[in-house]
Amino acid sequence: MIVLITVKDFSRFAALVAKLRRAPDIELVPAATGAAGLTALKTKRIDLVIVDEQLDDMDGITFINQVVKVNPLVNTALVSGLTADEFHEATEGLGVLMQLPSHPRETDAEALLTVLEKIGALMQPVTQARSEALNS
Amino acid sequence: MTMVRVAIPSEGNGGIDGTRAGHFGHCDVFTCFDVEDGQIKQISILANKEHVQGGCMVPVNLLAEAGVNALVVGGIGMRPLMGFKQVGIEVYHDGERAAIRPVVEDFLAGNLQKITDNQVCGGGGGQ
Repeated sequence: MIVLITVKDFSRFAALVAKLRRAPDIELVPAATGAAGLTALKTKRIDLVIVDEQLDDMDGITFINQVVKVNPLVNTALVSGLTADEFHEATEGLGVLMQLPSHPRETDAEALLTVLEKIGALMQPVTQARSEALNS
Repeated sequence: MTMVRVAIPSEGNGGIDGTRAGHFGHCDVFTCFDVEDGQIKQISILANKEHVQGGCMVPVNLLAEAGVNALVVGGIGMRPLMGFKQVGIEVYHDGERAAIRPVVEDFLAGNLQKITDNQVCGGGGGQ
């Protein structure tokens, strides 16, 4: 799995990054600006994007708006100081996996990996349709 | 003429006399209509999968695997809309009527419009 970390101040993400580095089969790709992150998205097969609340060239929600247009299959997690309800309202159409605190912890990385695993399982093919009598 | 499979997010057990779900990712089932020459040839019910926050590609994947070509929604978020475009499923919009039958009839008559990027939900109705 390739994880793109688009943040200006990497020191705040040290605990999260340390946990991800210890996880198997994870490659981390850093980007300091939204533009650099979008370039990485176009050149690498990114699986997860972690985004800071504010970047030098755009805010995190604006960045994710652009991410979904470049590659809607990419999952995202966003640092945000919004309340849970505000965050839900602001991001649900963008399909953001998780709201992160300004200093993400190892437990946040664990939670992210757990949600990704669950979604990966749900993406497995199970197509079982039942037909009903044509009643039109 | 080519067969087209149209899916309608539905509440409960779905079916042509059922009720549409306003929140597509949270629907109970998708009522699927196989349409050829403007006529419904078969109706099938496809159970939705569990909704997980951020998992809006799950129904996109589900419908693509089921051979769906078109989807009619009351609302949809930008990410799943982009996902449907990526897998080649056309998304149509009817934000008014709860009943499935008149919406399907309008689809068959060519009276429904494809949803545009500026009609997407930014929030609560998104997934």
